[in-house]
Amino acid sequence: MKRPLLAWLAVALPALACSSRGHVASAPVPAPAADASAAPEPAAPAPVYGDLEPAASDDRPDAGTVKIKLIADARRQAHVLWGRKDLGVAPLEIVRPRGSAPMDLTIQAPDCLPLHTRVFADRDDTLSLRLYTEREAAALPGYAPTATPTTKAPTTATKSQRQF
Amino acid sequence: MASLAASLACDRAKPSAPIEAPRAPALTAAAPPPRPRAHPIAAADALPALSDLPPERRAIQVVGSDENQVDADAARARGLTTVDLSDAWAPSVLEGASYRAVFTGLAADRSDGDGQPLAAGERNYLELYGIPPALSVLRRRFLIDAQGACARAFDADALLAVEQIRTWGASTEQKELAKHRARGQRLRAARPDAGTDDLQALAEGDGKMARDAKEHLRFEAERLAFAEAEKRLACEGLMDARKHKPGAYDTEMRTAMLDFQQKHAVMDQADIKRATLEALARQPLDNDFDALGRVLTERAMHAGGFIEDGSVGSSVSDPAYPTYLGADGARHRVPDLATASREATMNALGIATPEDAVAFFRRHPRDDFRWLRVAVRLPTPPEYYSRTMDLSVEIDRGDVWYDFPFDAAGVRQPQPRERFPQLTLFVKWRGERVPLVRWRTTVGGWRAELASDGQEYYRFKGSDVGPRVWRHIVTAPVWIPPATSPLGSMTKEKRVGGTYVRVTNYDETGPGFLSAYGMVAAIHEEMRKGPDGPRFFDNGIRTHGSFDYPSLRGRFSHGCHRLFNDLAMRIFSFVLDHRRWRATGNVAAGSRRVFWSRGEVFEMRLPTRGYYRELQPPIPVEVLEGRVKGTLTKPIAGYVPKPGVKYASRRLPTMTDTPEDRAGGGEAP
Repeated sequence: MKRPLLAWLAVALPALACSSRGHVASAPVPAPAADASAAPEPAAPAPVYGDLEPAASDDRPDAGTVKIKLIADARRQAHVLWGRKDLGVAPLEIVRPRGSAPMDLTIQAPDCLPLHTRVFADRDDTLSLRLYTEREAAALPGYAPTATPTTKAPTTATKSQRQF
Repeated sequence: MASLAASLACDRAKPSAPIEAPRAPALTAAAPPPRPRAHPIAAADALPALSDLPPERRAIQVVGSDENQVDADAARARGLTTVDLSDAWAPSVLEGASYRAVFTGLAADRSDGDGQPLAAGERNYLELYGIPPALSVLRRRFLIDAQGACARAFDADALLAVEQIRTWGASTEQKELAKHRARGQRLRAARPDAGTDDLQALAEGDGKMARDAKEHLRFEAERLAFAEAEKRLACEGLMDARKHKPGAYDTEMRTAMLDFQQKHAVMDQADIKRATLEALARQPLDNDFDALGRVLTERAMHAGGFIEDGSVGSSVSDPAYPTYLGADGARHRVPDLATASREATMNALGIATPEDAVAFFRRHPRDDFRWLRVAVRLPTPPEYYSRTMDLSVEIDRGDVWYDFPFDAAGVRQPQPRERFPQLTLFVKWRGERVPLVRWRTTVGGWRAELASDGQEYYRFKGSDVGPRVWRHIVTAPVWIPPATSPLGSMTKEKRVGGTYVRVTNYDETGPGFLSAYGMVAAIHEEMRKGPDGPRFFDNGIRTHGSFDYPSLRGRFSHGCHRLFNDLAMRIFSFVLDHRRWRATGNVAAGSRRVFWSRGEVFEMRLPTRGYYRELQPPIPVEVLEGRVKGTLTKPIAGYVPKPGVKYASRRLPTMTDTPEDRAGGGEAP
């Protein structure tokens, strides 16, 4: 999982501190105690058990489903994306197991900035998607005028750009 | 980013320098004692073995050399406690909150903090954050480590020959290694003049040469230990040797070291101090065994509804160790039920050694951890236990300095503290206050804060003193950022549906183990008499769990009283077990914030403030002023400019002091 901030900083800060100095040793420095005999050995061999990895499901009792309605003007042609997956054009309805993880969605519509929102699966919900043009977004907190161009409707190319 | 975030909520503090002291008792790699054996269970506790029980009725019991399946209901009827060993376990305070499912997913290495599946091979090492590994995760560790890849892969003596291994960032490391080589050359050249070839003899002398020789020997020993640490991390499967440059504390090894430390509950945060060296020097199975002990302690304490962990005194043999008056007229020591419960549970499982644990996990395939529980004769609760205990809390702020910590020249002034903040839970019994646990906590102090003019100032963010109550316990609490909070940390990249995208960052708001309020919080409310009965005021102070475990070793909060996340869940589970309460449920927040970031629009939606329970009646909390040090007897009100900072205006900005500003989250319902 993503490393907690505290832990991430413990690893990353020393590296950042060093790179900021812009100094790279010109010649590799021999490790005093790391000769051939001290080289790290390969990791343990694969286990013989077939059930060591976590089970896929958590055995929660079936709590039914929830319906999440995403409302937007159909003329906007707003595509609702969950990661790579295009769930369709809003308005649409998502059905999820009740109590399952929240979904981080990206809404992409022509001439509008991508909108990132989250839907929760605790209960039935209706969410009105407020999409912003570049001009409208200028009133939002954090806005800086060096904005990137607004997106077009998602295409294969658009989606593939997100695969990094 | 961290400093900005730190100004916003009680526990949003900057990570500090790592600390050395481990929470888990550090074991040394001494000669092994004679092989211990689990004590056989009492004949009266042995239940008939049954083979056709449905999963919900099953428990296990080890009788002699046999592990039997027994009827859990019959076990309870006989006064035994069934300790839940299944992967579905979570502390009882999480019951009712939807975050419970995320907790169990994190514990079982199944999902991330948002409940999304982990990538293949990814692991959560979250014990220090309050989420102990599930038994199926420990099973994996035991069964892999039992294959012995590490058995002879490293030299424990070399690891224990040093007190620490100093580490640096990449460029400093190069310089230090170069200095070491140069020192070695100088010493080689100087040996003929010194009349000895022996560095040790040289080090025992006086003067610069001796100091150089000592330092050289120390450095050499650290490099030897470093090489062993490399082998150790690789053999445990935490470091990919192909991505690591031998001898360098590079990102690959630093990441592996942090994983190792978090896996084994060592609080060194990638530094290689004594506690880390001791853990590295142990065989993996020994570390696994310690982890199993910690996990079973937590399970047994929750199953028994216990809290006493021996923290109220330094040693049970100390005559000053707290006692309570028994019905027999004698004084009895407040027990350490944590140790006793763990021992009883391990005994009931027939586990006394790492090898016993391997045998146990070999007997039980992964699927058994869907239902597994063990019937245990837990210690008899002390006589002051009941469903409605007369509990109270005292928080001693310890040594408090109100003086501004810089002099007129901007030089930081030392403000040493001998007495640190402590939280003590008491039960009133036979007219006496009996301390049950005493834990380190945090109090507020001088903190840098982002003011409304966009610049940072110092401000004394104290902890309220005087009588308060815990009236609401909030599970999976949500911190609602004030409108002025900076946006820098409000987005993050994460994997969603198989690809990485930028999303709104809910880590700091929660619910979650990284949230500003941890996984559970109690609101400190001031009770005032009103014409229609008592009225309650929330001044933004909470006692809450915290992911920022190093802060519990002496840093300041923004006024809140932090606890380790696991202890916070333990104490509030205990309170719910032994007090009357009413579930209010999820309290609506309806918070929605829209902001722009790098050409995209983000919505932060926080539908609830968390899952609330109301204690009936509330628990009294007394916050003691502590020992005020220095010259000032009251805190300075308002902002104080930071030394060395040029401000746009000489006029100090107005300081807000709302509960949301002090801690976030606003008022209690």
